[in-house]
Amino acid sequence: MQSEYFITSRNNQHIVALTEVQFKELKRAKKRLSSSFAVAHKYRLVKANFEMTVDAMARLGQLYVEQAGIEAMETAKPHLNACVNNFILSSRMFTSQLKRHVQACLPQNRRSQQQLTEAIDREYHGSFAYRFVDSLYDYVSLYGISIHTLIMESVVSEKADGTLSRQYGLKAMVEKDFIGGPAEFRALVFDEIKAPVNLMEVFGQFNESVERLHHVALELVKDVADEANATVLEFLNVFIAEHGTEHDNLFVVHKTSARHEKVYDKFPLSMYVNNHNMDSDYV
Amino acid sequence: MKLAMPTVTDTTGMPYHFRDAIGINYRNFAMWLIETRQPDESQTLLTINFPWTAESQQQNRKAHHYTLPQSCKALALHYQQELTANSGVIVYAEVSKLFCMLVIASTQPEEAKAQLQSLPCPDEFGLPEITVLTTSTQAFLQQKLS
Repeated sequence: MQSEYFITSRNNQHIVALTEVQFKELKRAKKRLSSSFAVAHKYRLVKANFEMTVDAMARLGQLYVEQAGIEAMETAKPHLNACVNNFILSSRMFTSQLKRHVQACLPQNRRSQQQLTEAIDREYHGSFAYRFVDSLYDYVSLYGISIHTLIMESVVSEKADGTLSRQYGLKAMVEKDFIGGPAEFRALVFDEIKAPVNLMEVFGQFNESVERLHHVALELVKDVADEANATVLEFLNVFIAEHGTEHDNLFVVHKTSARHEKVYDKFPLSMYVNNHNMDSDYV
Repeated sequence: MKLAMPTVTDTTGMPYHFRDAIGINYRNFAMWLIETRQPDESQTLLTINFPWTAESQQQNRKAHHYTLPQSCKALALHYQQELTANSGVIVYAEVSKLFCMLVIASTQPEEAKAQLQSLPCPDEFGLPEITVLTTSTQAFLQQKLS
């Protein structure tokens, strides 16, 4: 079986031949870069969803104070519920695959994987908010609802001249009474709930946990990600040196004659370098 | 976190704190007099409980119960005006899908009760029930708001 390896431009017009060793090097680099980027992207998703939820709360509060009509309120409430759901789902996307991504970057490094596991355990066992949001995923994906009650309070203060000022505050609550029982919600966490849960408070704390885990994970993979970045850049520069800079998307290809010269494996490459959208902190 | 919004000049003119609980199957709005104006233990509390009529309940439901807080405030304002002569002050009011309740503190509870009974009942409500309480304003509010 004859295998051939290349870097090609999108239309296959321009190619640079690779050895099998070089191909494997690039494949490993791509795996490392795509995994570290995945952690970074998913962390940003969680953060963005949190901000959207805060905004949606503020908007709902504003509508209430302005005494907007039923239609406005009944649109804003599902909108808030949607933002909350998105936050919960993206949080699960982040946490459930974190270990796998770090493992993809450092498959031989038991110590690093253990460090991450310990960090996750610390968050889980140390924070009710973390346990609660994690448990909320199953409830929300089953029932589609997260907020049971909205509480709008306003406090009046009277000035010396007799004028009144009013400060409004909005809370979104999850009611233990409505969650059901151990069949619908993780039993041990369910037992911990003593009162209605203030969702935004819990989300804020959970967000902090995610930030810490994101930091741990990317610190662990930083070096191999940098190496991988350098490797890819090197090969791209070889391609550019031969064929010029006008190619926007490059691919690494493995062709085999056993399948009538069909492509056995192909993956994009250039998307992982010179990504000006990413924080320079990590990848 | 409780989402804090900017402090605004009060446009209601009502020296009451508000709490509106918007639940998935209930609505409860309550208002209570600010601390600096709450009467002391010397005054007796009366409650007057107005049940919504079946028709009103239907109307309220059509409006998704967003009209309840305003109904409560309007009822309280209306009765406060009627009571000034007797020096009764509304210290608490509450509305739900089923009823609207006013709690009045008065130095002359029997006269206040008689006056309330002489007033016409608003159309949206059925016959109200008046009870005289033995708790003080502070104790009542503490129990209600805890």
